[in-house]
Amino acid sequence: MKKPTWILIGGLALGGISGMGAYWFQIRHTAYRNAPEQFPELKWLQDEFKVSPEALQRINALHEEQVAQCEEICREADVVNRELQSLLATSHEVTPEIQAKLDEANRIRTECQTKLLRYLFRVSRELPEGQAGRYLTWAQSNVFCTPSLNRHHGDPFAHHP
Amino acid sequence: MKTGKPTSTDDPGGDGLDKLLSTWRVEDGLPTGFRAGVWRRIHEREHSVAWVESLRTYWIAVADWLARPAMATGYLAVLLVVGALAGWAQAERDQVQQKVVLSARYLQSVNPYQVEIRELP
Repeated sequence: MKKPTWILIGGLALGGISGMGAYWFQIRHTAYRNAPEQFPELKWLQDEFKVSPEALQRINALHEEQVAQCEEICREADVVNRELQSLLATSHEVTPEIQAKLDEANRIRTECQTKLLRYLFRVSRELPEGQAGRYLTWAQSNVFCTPSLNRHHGDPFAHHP
Repeated sequence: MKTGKPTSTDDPGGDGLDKLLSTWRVEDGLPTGFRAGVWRRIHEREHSVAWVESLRTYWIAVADWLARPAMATGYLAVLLVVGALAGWAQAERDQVQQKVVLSARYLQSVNPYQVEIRELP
């Protein structure tokens, strides 16, 4: 092949290699991509809210406890929902039994939200100054807002200074 | 096409065959659109040749351009920068997407009632 052909092909190859290099250079700072921890989302939390390694260990323990509680709540809620569904399958009005199941489902939900709030406050106390408020604003706006008003595109922290 | 078929009553001896053949004329014209089809194919062939020819002309111009060291260096530098910018932009997009996925996963792991998952960009 002639020299210009080599230059043309070489230029395209060079562009591809430089693209891959820039991609790798930029992405390697995102450590949570290949986080080996049990909870990779905590590695993200650490990066996003500048959590120290010591604080991350404490948050990890809190998180483990909260996840276990969530699993228990899920089981309870599942049982109540099944019972509610079987009641609804045989009724076309809100009977006292259905009302009682709804109350029970709401009690579980309230208990869950209380535990969640306690967890969020405990985690926020482990975060550096300035990050705690940011964390609570973000978490609470996601957890307690109406889902339809809770749509963000792109960077989830774009609206939280 | 009209053909005059000889019969035994017209010419029992078969001597009139030559005469009959000499009067045999093809009366049908060319198929509809035959001429147009021929011209179209000629134009297509010419267009195809012209396209290849123009491509060759362009390549010669590019090859001349790349043969100059300054131009070749500029070409390589531009592709180097364009490639790096494209890679960097793609990494940025991937990071934002990963952030959204992990933040949603974090909330879902601590809140069983978290049904809303942020849409990916």
